[in-house]
Amino acid sequence: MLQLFFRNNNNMLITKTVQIYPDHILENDDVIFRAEEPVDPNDFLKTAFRQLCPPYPKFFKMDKLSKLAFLGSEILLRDAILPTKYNKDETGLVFLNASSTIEIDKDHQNTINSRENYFPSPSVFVYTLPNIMLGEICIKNQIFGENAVYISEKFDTGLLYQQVKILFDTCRLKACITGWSEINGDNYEVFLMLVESDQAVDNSKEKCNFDPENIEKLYKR
Amino acid sequence: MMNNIYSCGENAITSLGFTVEENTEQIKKDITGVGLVQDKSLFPEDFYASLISTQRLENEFSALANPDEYTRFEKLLILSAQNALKQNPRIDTSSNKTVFVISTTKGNIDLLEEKQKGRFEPDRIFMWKSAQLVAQFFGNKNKPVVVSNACISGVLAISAAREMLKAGYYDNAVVIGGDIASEFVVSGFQSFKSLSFGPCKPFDLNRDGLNLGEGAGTVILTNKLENLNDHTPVLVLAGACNNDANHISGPSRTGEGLFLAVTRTMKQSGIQAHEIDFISAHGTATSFNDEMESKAFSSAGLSNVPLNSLKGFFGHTLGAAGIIESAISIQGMRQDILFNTLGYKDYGVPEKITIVNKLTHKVQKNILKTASGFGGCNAAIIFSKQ
Repeated sequence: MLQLFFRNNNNMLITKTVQIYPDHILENDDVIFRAEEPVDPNDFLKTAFRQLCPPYPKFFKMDKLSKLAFLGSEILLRDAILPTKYNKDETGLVFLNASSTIEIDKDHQNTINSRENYFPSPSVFVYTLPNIMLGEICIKNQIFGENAVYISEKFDTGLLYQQVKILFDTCRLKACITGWSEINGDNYEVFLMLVESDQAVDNSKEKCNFDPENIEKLYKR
Repeated sequence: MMNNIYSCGENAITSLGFTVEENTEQIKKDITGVGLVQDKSLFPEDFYASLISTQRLENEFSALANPDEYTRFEKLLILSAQNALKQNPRIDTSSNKTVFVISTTKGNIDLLEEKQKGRFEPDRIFMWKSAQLVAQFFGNKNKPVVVSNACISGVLAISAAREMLKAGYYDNAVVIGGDIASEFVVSGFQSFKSLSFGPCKPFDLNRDGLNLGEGAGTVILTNKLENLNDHTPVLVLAGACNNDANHISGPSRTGEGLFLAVTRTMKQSGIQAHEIDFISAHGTATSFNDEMESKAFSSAGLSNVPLNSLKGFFGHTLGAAGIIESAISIQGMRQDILFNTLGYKDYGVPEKITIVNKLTHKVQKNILKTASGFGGCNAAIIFSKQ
């Protein structure tokens, strides 16, 4: 009975990638945004968002980690038609990250270090969970599928591939926003892929197989 | 059936005890570990929570390793796994076919406190570091998998471990969840006004919030029949996870995310609503969470299935909750017992659910465990007795 839910030879395709670095943003192979000089991460993210994405006031209330992931997802999905193409629970998110929410954790800790100046805030505390960035993306795009955040010292191609493949093989997902969203101090990096099952993909689009070799190649591009 | 995944060793460390048996003995007597905490280092005012005895933790850990070399969080993880592995000497933790899966929301977050500065290397704040040390402690060379997905982390970790075994990546998984009570977490939940003014009252008309709990739990999974111990074999059937896509700090008002997770879990497991004998609910005792759960279970056709929340016994243990509550519910299934929902008195949710309100004898074959958390996430998993 259970075997009915497993498919063999299930092809998964990477149909788009987005990469965010401290001074530039890549959409597939194209540099779509470049900072003229090194700027504060928050300023960089806000400027890029205003220039590249449709207005979404909630963006400016997010912590830096969610801003990074959200900006990446907006660019990733800007020419995609996910909501109509798949059932609402067939799209999911699998993210990797090293430092969890260390930046906003320090902010929250600073609000409680002194009994004389004690002001913990729910709008800060809520961002001290790494899956909140997934929640923000789900809300914006009405994505109801699988969610998972794995914490890994470095970007781990094997783990990412394994966990996403399982979700496709067991028919839980037909599309997945997956990758790496990380910030620690002034160092930050986003690498997101849109992965879709082969039956669903428009043949005219550029694409490559979702496999460890291609993931590694795209990540290091 | 080919390629079944079994639970073959469980542990729970809470304020009530350091083994599943110690916990269930107290639970059977309606004894709670939630109490008034007057500790200014955790919160400037008194509050109710469930804390683990530091003295006992240090004593028991000293028998295993030098307590100065590990944080409180790591000691809990190691001790919990050690106690679970004691029940099943057949599991070879040093094998390359065994993987450690760690579930936590905040790990070593107390290391951010001023008084902890300099006690450990700076990278100790990271969850991957704690996970490495735990795997190393047990002589395991595989990279541990760390799940950090708010309050569903524990259920998600069991489900992810099951899938890794099912897909053949490993034969055994030691799934450990843990979280400590820290000033960080207490102040955060207090800022949300989520903490109850007394012991929490899941699903009750007068519920006013949750109690935080410290805890660790372990479930050992295997796909090898020869690795089972002499306990009644328990199968881990499918799990699923869904997002509400509604709000980052509140559950959906309709319960849609949890409904999807529960119905997809049943479908993937090949189990229908009438075959579920018991639900171990999340039941944090916050107004919105319990209301949402009643809607989701009722929509899923589970209104008449006995359901409990264990939060009244040891609070909300965050990243450990899904594992501790699974371990205890598996024990209940093996003994044909339903545990009470301590703190519940008057029915207080909008849709019909069947709340267990005393220790009850019931033969169970299939049980459903669920969890919901910040970020709109919901997870479910089914365990089945053979």
